[in-house]
Amino acid sequence: MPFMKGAAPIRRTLKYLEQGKLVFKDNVRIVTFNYNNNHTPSTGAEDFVFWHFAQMQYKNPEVQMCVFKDMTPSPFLQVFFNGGSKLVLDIDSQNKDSIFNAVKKIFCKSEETLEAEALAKEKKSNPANFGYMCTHECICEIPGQVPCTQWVVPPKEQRGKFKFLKKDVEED
Amino acid sequence: MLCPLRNLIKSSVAHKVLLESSIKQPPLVNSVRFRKPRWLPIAKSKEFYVRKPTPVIPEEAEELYLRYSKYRADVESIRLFLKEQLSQKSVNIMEKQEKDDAADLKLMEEQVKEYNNQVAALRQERQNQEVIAEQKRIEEVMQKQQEERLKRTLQAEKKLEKNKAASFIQPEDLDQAIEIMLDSRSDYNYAITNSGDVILGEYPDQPLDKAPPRTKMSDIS
Repeated sequence: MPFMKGAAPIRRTLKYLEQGKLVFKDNVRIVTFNYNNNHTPSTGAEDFVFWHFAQMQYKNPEVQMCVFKDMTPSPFLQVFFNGGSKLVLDIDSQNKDSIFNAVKKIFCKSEETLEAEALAKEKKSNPANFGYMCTHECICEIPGQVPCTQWVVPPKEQRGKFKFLKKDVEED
Repeated sequence: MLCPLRNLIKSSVAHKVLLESSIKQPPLVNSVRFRKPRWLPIAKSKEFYVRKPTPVIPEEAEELYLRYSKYRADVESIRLFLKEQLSQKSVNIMEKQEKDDAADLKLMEEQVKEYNNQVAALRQERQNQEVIAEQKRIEEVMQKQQEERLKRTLQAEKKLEKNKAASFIQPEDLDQAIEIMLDSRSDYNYAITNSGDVILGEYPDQPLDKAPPRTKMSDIS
């Protein structure tokens, strides 16, 4: 790992970030974590934030995520939605995995939705398109089309000089 | 396979536009392969080109005009109708989205409530235990303080008892003590030297036999 900085630098690797499974629903806008330092009931919340915060932010770049420490007696997480409504999830004395499962079940897109979205994304990149950032740069590359005029001279009938301007083309 | 078109595209302005726009979904833009610079004169072959005017048959033109007007009116009306339908559709989609969101939110609320209830039981239990522990701690501290106070009072009483016999005035001797005090007079106008000698004041009333014996410096050594 290059630049192994900080505690558990694996959390900063691209591979780890891309393996994040928490993709929030579209109407989730802000997620807030509240927990305490050196507080036994907050250890689960602390671990969850330590291991999964980066992944969540990577997978949800449009969601604002905040962490507040030592502000309330017990740990919880708040989720704010599109219309301004919010929900509070109590995570007092909960295990990191239990919190993960709860968040995934309640606030995140399901596996089926994610799969459907991935499929739709694939379809959008239409292989029939040609041009910049497509599979073919020019229509001449597609089999069954007129070959590239750099390499093959087209017949007189297809050349504009003959067809529109009625000029007799001398063979060069 | 090298394509000359590709090379030209890379140098055109459109390519720069494409680069700057989002890479995720690039728009498909046809770039112009060649445009003659405006400062170049018209080519010799095209200098005196005069186009033949389009042949117009008046009756046909009139008929076409009427037919086209009607056709365009029909097409425009259909277009406007479809446009209105589309806007209505988008409003419907928005409403549906809102309804879906509300339903989704309700479901999430229920799930959150259920989870919170489970956790709340544990949390309440923990907090109750904490309260009890705190109460216990306070009680212990109070107990300790009380014991300490008691010990101190006993010690003080013991000391009192020791001194009582020596110098305290008993109730029976009260009258005599008062007589003594009224008859006696103390003079505080005296100084004590470094060596411990007492130097009396200007008008000493009585010798200082009431003063406690002082250790003279000359006695030490």
